[in-house]
Amino acid sequence: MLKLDQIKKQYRQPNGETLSILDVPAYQVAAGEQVALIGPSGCGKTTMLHIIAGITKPTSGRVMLDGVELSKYSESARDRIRADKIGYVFQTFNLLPGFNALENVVLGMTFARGKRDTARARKLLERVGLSHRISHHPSKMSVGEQQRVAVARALANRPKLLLADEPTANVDPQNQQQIVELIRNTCEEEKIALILVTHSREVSDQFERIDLLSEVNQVVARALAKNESK
Amino acid sequence: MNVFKIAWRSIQHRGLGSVLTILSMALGVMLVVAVLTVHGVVSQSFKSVSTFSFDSIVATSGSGMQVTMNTVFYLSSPVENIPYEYYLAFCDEEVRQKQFHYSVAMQSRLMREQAEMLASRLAAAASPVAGWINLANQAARSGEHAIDDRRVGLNRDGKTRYLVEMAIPINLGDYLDRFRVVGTTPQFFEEIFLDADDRTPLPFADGRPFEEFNEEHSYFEAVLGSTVAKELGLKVGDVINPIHGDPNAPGAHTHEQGFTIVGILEHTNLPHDRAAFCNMEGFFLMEDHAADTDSVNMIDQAAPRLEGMQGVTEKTSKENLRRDRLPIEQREVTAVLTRATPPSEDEEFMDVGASMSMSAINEGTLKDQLNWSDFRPLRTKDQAQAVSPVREVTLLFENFVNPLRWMLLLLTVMICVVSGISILVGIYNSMSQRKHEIAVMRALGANRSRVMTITLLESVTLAMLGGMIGWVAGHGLNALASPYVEDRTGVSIGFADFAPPIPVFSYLAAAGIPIFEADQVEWLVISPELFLIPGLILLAVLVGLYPAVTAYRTDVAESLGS
Repeated sequence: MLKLDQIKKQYRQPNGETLSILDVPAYQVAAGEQVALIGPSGCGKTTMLHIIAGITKPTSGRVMLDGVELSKYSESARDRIRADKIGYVFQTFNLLPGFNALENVVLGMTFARGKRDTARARKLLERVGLSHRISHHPSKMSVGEQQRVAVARALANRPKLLLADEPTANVDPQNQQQIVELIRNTCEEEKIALILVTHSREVSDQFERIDLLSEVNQVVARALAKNESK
Repeated sequence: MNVFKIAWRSIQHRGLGSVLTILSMALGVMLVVAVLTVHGVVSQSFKSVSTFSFDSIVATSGSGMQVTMNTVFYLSSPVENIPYEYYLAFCDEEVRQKQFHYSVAMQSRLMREQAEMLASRLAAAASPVAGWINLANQAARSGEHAIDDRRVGLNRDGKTRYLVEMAIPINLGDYLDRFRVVGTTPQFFEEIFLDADDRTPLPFADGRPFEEFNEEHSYFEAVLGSTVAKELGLKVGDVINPIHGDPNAPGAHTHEQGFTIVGILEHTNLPHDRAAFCNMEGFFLMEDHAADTDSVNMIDQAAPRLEGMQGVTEKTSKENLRRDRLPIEQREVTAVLTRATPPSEDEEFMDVGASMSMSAINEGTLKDQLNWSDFRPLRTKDQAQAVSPVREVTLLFENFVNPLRWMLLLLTVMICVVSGISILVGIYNSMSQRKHEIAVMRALGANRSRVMTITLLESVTLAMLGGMIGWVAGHGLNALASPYVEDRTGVSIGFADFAPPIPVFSYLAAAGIPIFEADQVEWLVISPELFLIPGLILLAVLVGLYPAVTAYRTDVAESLGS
């Protein structure tokens, strides 16, 4: 479903030297597979998610998503592919403050092909336990509720791949578990591949596959055994 | 959810800021609409009225503008009167003879003739020789009368008659409530047109024009303009009593003599809406309207002297002299509206006729040629002037109204530009927050063009909302200011009155913008208010461009991180 091949991301520094942010020789995620991506701060986890989502273009290498070489396309085409095939959950929720819960979820399918399915948006909100908060704006919701709306929004366009960038970092432990379960269960039911970036052992330990993005060599160590990660 | 809704939600989210921006734009548009409408409607009214029906006004010397304001628009403080002879100079033989019939001179002549005939009969009966002598004297006196008749022009057209096809006398000075009373002839309703092109007379909503003499109402019939009738709640059959002089001035009093309303004009948006028209013959007969003249003294002196003579008692009493029409020696007019004889074969003849007529009056040659009555009112000035209302209005516009209009328009357009800049500032100030929202939308799959469109739409929506509110407020302001504008200019402006249309592409062609040949687009005549919509959209796009480009260039990864 997802294949990264010789992905590198480098920036030129003011002194002329090249700074390497990410170097991933090979990386794959199968359809419906759920992966916890861990690694120290600043190791390039978010950059990797951005490259997978087509938000950032890699300096070199190929990104294959659902049989399409994403890195070959123009930015506009990558935007379209992202709208159709990828869901994104942010650490800071990033709900639009001018929109209510339902509208924020509908916004998740606004830029994708196909019709805006308000019924699905309602159903997703119901699924995340917020059917009573449909018309509420983010400022009137708790942190946990906001993140649940963000999850519903990421799932609205029926993505093939869900990218969750530390979705539990800003929520309390009780909500943290609820959100992780919500994401995982939904992805499992809808056969959505999941890459969930986390710093939390409690969260990563729930995954069968845990990938480590090393700070030193920036190469993903695959298939760390659950026990090893502890 | 489409881009419009997303833009609208963004506007809603920035509630107070958006409201203030919209209000700022609304204020600018309101002022533009008010200036365009008031100026347009007023100038159209001034120009159209001044070019209708007459091309020259003969009135007292002095300010031509004041004369025009008085006689065309029924505004400004009243001007002095001029001798009736000026009006007679434009009349044909038939009218002059009829007028002269009601002169003191004619009455005196009749009285003298009758007296002399009686005396000669008495003398002939007493002595045949004396009878012959008296008959000879009578013949000689008749010859004098005949000369006298010719001197005052009884038997010919007035000196400037051939230069004009129409001359209508106007008498002002009385009021009905705050409206002017206009004493004139029934000819007014035949020759003063609603539409000069097809010579449509002023339409009547009810009733008919007044008559020169009516069996039931004598000389005392009136026609009201629509605004007068509406505001004073008057209808056909009611009787009005004009106030002598300015109602606010000391000494003003209501005339005892009433006029019966026989007609009400349709609303035309012309100054006639605000006037009460009275039959001039009745107007003259009201107290204080006869000039305080030698003719009055003459009547006062002649009446008792002649009264004692046998057979002429009834004819010579003062009451009988005044029973019918006011003698022309006691008459004055405020102005005479004249229309030059239309061209027959030579197109330029009309101009020649008008200019000859005007120069004859303005240079005083007509005054010198006029056969002044011996009983001419003393108080009226001999010298009159001929004023071209078109020229006066053109001067008014060129020297005062147009520069003021451009200044006001410039100011209001500047207000709109400042309002536009406030949109720019409003959007730009929220750009840091926007960048994050834009990045979120980009992460959800919106491309750069989409977020740029959303930002531009927000700018356009703010401008259009402000524009619509401003448009409504501008017309509301016009409606509110209507009584003031009407008082000052005589033009009533309603809520739904648009700025009058202008030939757009002719203006552009005149300004050197070669879109089309001017003669090909003469038909495209639209209200300048309609330019507000594309103008506002253009302004909104211009001011929204910078934030939109900023949105376009937003770095998603960086902004998501922030």
